[in-house]
Amino acid sequence: MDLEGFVNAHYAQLLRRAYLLTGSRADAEDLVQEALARTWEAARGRAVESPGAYVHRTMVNLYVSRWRRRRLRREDPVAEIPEPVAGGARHTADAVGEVAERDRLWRVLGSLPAKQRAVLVLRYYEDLSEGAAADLLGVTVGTVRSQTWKGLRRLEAALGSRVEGDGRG
Amino acid sequence: MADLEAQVRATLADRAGRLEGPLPYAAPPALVDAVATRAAQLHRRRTLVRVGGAAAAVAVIGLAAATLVRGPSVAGPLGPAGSVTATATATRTVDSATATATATATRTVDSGTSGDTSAQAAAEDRIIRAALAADPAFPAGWDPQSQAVFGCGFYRVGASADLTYRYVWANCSMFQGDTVVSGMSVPLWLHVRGSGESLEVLGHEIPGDGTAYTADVRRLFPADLVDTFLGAPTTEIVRVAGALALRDAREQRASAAGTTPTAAP
Repeated sequence: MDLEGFVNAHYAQLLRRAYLLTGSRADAEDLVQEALARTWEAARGRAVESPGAYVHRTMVNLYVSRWRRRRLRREDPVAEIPEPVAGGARHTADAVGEVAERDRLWRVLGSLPAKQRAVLVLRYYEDLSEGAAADLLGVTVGTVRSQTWKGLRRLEAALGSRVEGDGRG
Repeated sequence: MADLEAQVRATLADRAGRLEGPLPYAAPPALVDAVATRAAQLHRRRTLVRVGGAAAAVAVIGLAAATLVRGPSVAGPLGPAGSVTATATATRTVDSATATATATATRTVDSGTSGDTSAQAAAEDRIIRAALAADPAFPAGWDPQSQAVFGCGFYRVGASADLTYRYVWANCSMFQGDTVVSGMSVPLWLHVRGSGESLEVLGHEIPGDGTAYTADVRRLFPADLVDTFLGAPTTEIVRVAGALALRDAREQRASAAGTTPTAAP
């Protein structure tokens, strides 16, 4: 496969995953580019068994090892969280509240350590098993389990304190 | 906790969905170019590391066992000024490449070239090195004030039938002692006239970086060499050219000091 074919075959999926990892479109594009270049360079002159799997593994590990500092430096602006509409139709208020909760959760996700965020993305967006996530990250299943648990606990704690602080329940 | 897991799933899916809208179906062409450029950068860096590593390893081997043997050229008209006997692998590789090149009708690395004297080959090497040293693309042009020695090793891969065009893997590096401080390990296209002491370099070109690399290799070299330059077989060529560059640097240093060079690869 030529470079263009290789990039086109993986770009969309990589960019989506990178965006969920970095929280920023610009950082996601940088991360994808670096992962693709490393994979292409690695495959040059030697056999890489599965370039598709290799590029995904490279990208996640690049993110875990290097990207966190960049993400903290250059985060996408977060949209204003809409307030629930008092007195409005119930379904409208519910929908707005849901959007607010997701935005809040997204922001808290961005504050997690890189490995915890990576594990949550792999487990809850990609629907990877603990074993598959461990394989991709190059860690043990036990580590995936503990990082998942810690990540969820931190989300829970952050969301709980936010909710109390906002005076909403 | 199950509620939270569901919320995380919904949030991630929602965010991924928001990104999907502006996603082009295919990757932007600029990205392909950027990836190619970055991959070429990484490749060059890896090659330089390998060149540096090989130089260090060669120095150790040299101290232990290597012997510089001056003899007939084993790699054709632009070959090293002497055979390389520091490692059996290097010698075998050169022989094997020569045999391959000889079998290729479009290029001439024929038995007649074995008549080249080492002095002629060494003279050609010096002339080519001087031509490259004037090119800012090569390490000598990067840091002309440096006290480092600009050493070149040429692994001859082939030539046109009339020997006007030579195809070489060149390693040109700046050496501080036996350490490479900067260097270039690249396929090199040469347009020449004459041979030996009267060799004249009319032009030379190395392939560009990034996406230009593949296209330039195809443009500059015969089809049967393209795979050699683009693929895995370059590893041994690179190593031998690196060892020859180190030897060249040692010889220059020894010559400047009026001494005999130490054992070289």
